[in-house]
Amino acid sequence: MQIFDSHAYFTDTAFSHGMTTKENIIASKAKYGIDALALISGIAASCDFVRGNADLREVLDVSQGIYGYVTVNSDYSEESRQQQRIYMSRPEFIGAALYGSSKNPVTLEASREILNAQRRFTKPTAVYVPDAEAVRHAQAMAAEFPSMKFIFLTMGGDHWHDAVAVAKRHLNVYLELSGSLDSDKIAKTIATVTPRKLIYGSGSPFSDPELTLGLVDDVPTLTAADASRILYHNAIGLFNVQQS
Amino acid sequence: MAIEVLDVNTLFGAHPSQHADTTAESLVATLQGQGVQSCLALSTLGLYHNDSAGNRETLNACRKFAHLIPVATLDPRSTWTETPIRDEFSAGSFKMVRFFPAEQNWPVDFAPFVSVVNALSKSGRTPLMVSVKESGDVTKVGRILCDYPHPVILAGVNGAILAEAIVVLSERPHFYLETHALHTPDALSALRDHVGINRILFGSNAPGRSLNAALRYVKRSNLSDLDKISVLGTNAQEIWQSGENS
Repeated sequence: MQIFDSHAYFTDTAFSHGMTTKENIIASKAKYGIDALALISGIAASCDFVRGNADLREVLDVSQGIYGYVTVNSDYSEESRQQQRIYMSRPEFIGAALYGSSKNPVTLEASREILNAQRRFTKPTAVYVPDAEAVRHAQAMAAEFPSMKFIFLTMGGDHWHDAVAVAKRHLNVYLELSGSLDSDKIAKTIATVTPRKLIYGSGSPFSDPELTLGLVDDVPTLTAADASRILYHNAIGLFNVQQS
Repeated sequence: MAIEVLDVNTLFGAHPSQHADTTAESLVATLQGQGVQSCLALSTLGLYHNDSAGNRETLNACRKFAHLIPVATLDPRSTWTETPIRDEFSAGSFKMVRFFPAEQNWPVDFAPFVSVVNALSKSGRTPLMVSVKESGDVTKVGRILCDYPHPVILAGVNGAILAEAIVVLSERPHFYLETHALHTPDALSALRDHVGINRILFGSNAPGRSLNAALRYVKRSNLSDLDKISVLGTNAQEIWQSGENS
């Protein structure tokens, strides 16, 4: 079955060094059987989004199925919009990843101008939502910009029920399934919203792709067609990219 | 490769938040579905409500299901003196005692906790499992239990506190680490290289957390087949069959 990993990082970590160069990203894809992936720059997400986006561009390669998100930072509205203008029309960048100060969730107020600017690119915006508070803020964004598509990265963590409820209410919200490894997460999600709103992601290299693959594999009620949608085809449609 | 799997971290019973079906029956069904032979199990009643009532429920479930090995919990906010601890463990029914500081909202560096482990070190030959969550927790557990005469297992070590755990395990040969919160791709090989493969014990936190994901993390890691067998079963069997734990 084909796999599109919609949540991975171009970064080094203390214990895992498999996502630091184009060569080892390709090797990592092969190891886990991943056909395509969308990367966020680790430097961009943590401290320097301008440098991170520039570094990331160097490793992206559509022919290898290596796509990326343009990281924007709600604390730097003008600079973020400049990053959108530079990169967002390029085919290897398939969406924006919205971050802010690492200690606080991104709010609608802080990101309104960036989201306004994002509308014209018609590419989805991924928001890191590790908890219930972040889900609430991301919901406000989805409500104010109903024509834009939002991806809730890690779908609320342990508060995934909240994210599922938001996805049910807002047609423009998609859930990326890394985060909590609760055994009933996927089954309850697809019982509440269509499986077309769930996309596979790993959080690699902070999290091993085998974990989330194991989570998908662990759902007895999931049909092969729906598994294929979650693992691959939903992302292909959402990001509007060619099948590999 | 047929592997005898012993899961050292399972919980059954109700949860205060929305949760998967986590009855003892569903735990056993989950184990059987994934080919896990046995697990150390604990009732959530002891974690969330009352340790003594939970321990009774654990024993009842373990009498009913041979796959389940009984684990007790003690809540140092309510049980800290020697007599009730001696009474609870006099029959030698429990194979381990677990502590949940974060879940029960007490700090690791907590006088009643020190009192409880002092009592346990005198009264029983019981391995301990302590849940850790944040930076500094492992260091405190390492200090408080440095002279505990039996195995101490850290549960909940994640990528953010793995370095701290490696340092503490390097200094405390009776310390072990349970795997359910390890998500980093190469964490197992780092642990093997820094503290030794025999210090890693497979745990899943099933049935609330996905047993399949936890197993897949170990089985598809870059450890050798022999090392995988150690992590999934042999290491734990050596602790609980070494004769020091009656």
